Amino acid sequence: MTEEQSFLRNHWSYVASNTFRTLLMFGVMILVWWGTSEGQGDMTIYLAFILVMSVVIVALNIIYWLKTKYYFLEDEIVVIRTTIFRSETRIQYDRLASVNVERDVVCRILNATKLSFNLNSSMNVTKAEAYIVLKKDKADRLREDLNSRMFGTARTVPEASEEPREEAVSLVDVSTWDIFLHAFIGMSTYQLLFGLVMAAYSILSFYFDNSVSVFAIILFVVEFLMPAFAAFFRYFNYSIVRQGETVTVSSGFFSTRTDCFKLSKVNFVKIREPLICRVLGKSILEAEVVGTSDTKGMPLLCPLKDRDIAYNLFRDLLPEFVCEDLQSKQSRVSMVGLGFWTLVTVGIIAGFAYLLVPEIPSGFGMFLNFCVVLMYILCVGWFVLAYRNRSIAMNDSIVLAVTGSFDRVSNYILFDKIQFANVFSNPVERRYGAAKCKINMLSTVGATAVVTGVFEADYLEKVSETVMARIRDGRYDFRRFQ
Amino acid sequence: MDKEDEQVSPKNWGLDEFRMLNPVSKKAMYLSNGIKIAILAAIYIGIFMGLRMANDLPFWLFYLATPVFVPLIAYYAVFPGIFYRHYRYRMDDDCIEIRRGVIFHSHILVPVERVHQVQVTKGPILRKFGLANVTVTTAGGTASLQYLDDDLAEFVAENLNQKIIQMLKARE
Repeated sequence: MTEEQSFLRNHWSYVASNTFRTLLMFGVMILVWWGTSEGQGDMTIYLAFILVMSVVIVALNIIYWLKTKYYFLEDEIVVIRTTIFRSETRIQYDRLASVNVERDVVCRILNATKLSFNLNSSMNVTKAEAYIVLKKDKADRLREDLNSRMFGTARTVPEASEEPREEAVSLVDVSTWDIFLHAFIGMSTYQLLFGLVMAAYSILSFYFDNSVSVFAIILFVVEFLMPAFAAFFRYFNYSIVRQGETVTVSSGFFSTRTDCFKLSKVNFVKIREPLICRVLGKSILEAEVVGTSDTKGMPLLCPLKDRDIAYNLFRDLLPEFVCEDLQSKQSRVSMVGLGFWTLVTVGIIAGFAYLLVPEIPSGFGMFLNFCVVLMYILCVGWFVLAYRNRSIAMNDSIVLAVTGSFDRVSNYILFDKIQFANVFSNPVERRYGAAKCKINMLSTVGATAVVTGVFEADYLEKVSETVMARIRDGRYDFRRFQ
Repeated sequence: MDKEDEQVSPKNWGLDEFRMLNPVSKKAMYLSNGIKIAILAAIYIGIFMGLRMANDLPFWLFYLATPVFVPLIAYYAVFPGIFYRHYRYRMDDDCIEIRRGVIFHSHILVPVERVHQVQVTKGPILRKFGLANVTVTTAGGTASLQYLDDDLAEFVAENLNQKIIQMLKARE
């Protein structure tokens, strides 16, 4: 790398954002220390400490900022850092899975944008390989430039001299009400029920005992309200736009996020239908693309919408993932395993009910009895739905594995994206020639596996056989997914 | 295929057909499981003694621990014989197959095309018996060929590494 080559540096908001975050953390820590000393501590010492730390942090951030250079070369991005720990990161454009845009509150105030570069590798799935913070218009142009290099798409962000273009239209029309429904009823049935039971428990404890059950309220807030509001703010103002083979998904209330990926980088597709959504005829469409997700979940292609809308989008966007072959139902022997786990769960619930319910005062006793009956019903419901829902279908390029019980998930997996498969069986299943199959794939959180229901072992062996057959006869072409 | 290729072919090691483990692997498993059983038995006896000495703890906790410890100890005791009898593996030019299991039997097939990394590992017990494990890593997880003879494990790892290099070169 020569000194003459032009390079980019992070926008100064990078220093501001990092300093702000660190100082906020120190501030909270000092408040906690001061609080634990019951206000007896000398505040000037803490303030002096904050001042010294601020100077040190600002200085370190400025050094880090000045010593980090980004070179956008013909074939690759080179990030050179010449701080105490020197590093040089090289990212080839053809290995990039996605370039994502994140704008937190500081970035929005200072009109900056953070671009993160993600590789299609299991080693870098949850953490971006590199990122750069630039002024918004500069970041938009750079992202478009990188997208055109990676995906061969036309430019969509106008140069300063160009006339502004019409804004691209979202593939699905998503209202705030849709996002509200997605956030509150799109969660798993267990989570929804648990939240509602905790809410009911805290109301009843107030009614019968004139006291508030803090533990139940905390569980209700942590397990239900917080995830629901987090999802609402995360997917607020949702839009999905397609330009050629590139899809751009953007959303966010406080922090906005834009994920941009090539359709060929989709590892597999999920259609999620939690029980209540299924009853309302609604579905959620998700895609697994490395680098476009974090620990909060897979990127959405369509939030909770009518089933027809979600399926039509799926067919339009990812036709190669569609599998409309006849689905095989589970082998009857699966009832043995499902029945076993149902009986074990019923036994545990009965044991707890026997030990706990008589100890509780009458009002709560009634409520707990109701909960116990509800859990018995849930166990039976789980048994019936787990037997009915799980199915499998295959053609020569796709395997469709439907899993789940209350929450049905249809996994559409390309054979070419399967890393390896494991067909396994317990003694009862073996006796009847049945088995389950664990299909291992690359995912946004490292590696993931889909475990099918119980089907004929010979049929499940076809998963591995087809993967091998496609490699051997050349139907698998790695260039297709680059 | 030239002479050098023939020498490094899995066929020459008889790997293209399903193979059983070397019987010495049973000894390694018995030794390894013997240590586990000793640790479990010590904890189990510790619980028994502790509950007898501590007057404020109910003794029925010992009966609760029994259905956990006894089957586990029994499982470790019978594991090596059954594991050895069921374990089969094979490898050819484009895939690795493993059939294994004690209660749950599984059939794993890993295409060589998906392998990213190959690792040979041997702990003190395996080293004592001249054995090694070969772990193949794909983007979707790992699979292990266990209790292979040392030289066979080295051959498998070398062979897979060569194939990965060839594959990457062909892609450039």
